[in-house]
Amino acid sequence: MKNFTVKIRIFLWLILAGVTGWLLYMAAAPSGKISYVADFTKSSYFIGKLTPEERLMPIEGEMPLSRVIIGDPVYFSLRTARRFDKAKLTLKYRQSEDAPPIIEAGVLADKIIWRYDLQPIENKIIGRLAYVWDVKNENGLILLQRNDSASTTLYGSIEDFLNKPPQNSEIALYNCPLRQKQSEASDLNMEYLLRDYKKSAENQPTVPAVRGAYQFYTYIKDEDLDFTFDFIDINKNKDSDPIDLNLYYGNQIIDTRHLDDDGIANDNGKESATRRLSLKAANLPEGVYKVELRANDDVITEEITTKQSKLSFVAKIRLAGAGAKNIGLFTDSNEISAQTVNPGSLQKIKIGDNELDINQTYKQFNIETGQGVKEIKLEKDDVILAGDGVFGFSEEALINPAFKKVDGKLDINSVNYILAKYEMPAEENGWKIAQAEFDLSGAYREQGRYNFLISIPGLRADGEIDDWFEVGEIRVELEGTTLLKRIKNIFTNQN
Amino acid sequence: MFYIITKELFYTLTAALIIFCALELAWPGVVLAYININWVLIFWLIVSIIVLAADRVNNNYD
Repeated sequence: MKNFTVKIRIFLWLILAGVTGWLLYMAAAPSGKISYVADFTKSSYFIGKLTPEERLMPIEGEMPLSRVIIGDPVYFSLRTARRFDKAKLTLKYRQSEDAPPIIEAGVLADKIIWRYDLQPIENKIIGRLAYVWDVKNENGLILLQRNDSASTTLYGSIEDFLNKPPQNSEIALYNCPLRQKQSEASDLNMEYLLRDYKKSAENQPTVPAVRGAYQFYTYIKDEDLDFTFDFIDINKNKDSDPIDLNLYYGNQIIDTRHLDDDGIANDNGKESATRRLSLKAANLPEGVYKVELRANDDVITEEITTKQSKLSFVAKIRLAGAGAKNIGLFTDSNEISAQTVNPGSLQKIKIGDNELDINQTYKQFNIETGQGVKEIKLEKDDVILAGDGVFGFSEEALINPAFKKVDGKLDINSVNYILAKYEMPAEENGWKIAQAEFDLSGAYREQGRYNFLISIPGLRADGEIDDWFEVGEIRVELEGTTLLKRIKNIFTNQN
Repeated sequence: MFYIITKELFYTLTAALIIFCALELAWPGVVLAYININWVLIFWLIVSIIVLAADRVNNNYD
């Protein structure tokens, strides 16, 4: 009998040891590779639910085999037991005929400025043009060339195109980072130079107070870069409020400044004294520079003092509630959105010949204004303005070095070449399958979760068009350091 | 024999609960990703009751 007890005991403890070992193996992923799948038939521990629910078709009855997205964007989290370096996202999807042309997926890279690293899933514009334009594929890049015009030079290869590019105005890019000529890691041998630029000897007019993070372009030619920022911290959020200023040239950070929190890391609402940060750099080559302020919404830039005549905020600007009246801005954005959280800032905004009625707080109001520069007139501040272009406080201050982007707003007749880093999705049994790769080494991870989004610009839950995007399966293949390498790194004191 | 098996199962499940909870505290998600500890606890409770009942019958306490 005792022999039998021992056998049973050994058997059961071996099972427990096996289960524990398997759990540790799955969590540690010793090979550095693991993949997770969510097919919506049952909830997945690793791949979270698509949210928010308002942007998804409601579920009626049993658990569906897919989820239908009706609003943009939707988010999901990926829970992992350890960090990984790379993620390959595979989406199985289908969509309505009239669904917007661009589908992208992204991973949250920076939580302070809510920056997602977006990668293409499908671009229907490139897909359609690939049937009629000349196509060159090389090293993951695709070059489309208009072949119905005698005046258009047809390049034999992408290398030729990059070595002797046409005029910037003829080119549209998609998922192709533009790097300037002087940059060492040059993908595209093109640079944005202003022929008629003249430096200013005077300080530029003061910019109204701006809240939170922002990025702006400026231009340097035979002058020093010289900016002075005056900040206050309104301490309305619980977190500490450090400030980081980054200066970019050709997508690379060339200078940084840092300011610690004002010492009040709680939400007592006590305004700090004005603190100053200077960003100066001499002997810079001519070209466009980007300044990025990384700070949370407690930080208000009261004043930006500069002699630089070009200063254009990229894509978004949040005017602080400093009580300013009758503010004038200029933008080259086609689609502009405005939002306020302050009931006292509800107003009608004049944008060129159009009017945008902000009659509700916390709601984003959108308007399409057409191409070209237009003036925005606000009665009051404390408004968040966003658009697909730049914003400046004078028409002369506007500068937008960005190439045309292949999106739903692109006038195809205005370009002759499209350069994209893009792979067309495959088709299988009525479903499309597309893949996107993400660098997770710098991605934001909180409580073991990476945050992803699926972006379909133009898909609106409250829109009049009955368009949709159906996700059949989300698969994420992860790749990171192997267990052996991690152990070696510990002994060699590497990360 | 039934009593022996359930008693051994009880010991193993007790150890499993302790190990799983300790693992989960040390490395969140390592167990819960695959095993719902609530079900292990329920199973452990059922086995415990059976062991107690079988023990009572075996030793004829009444």
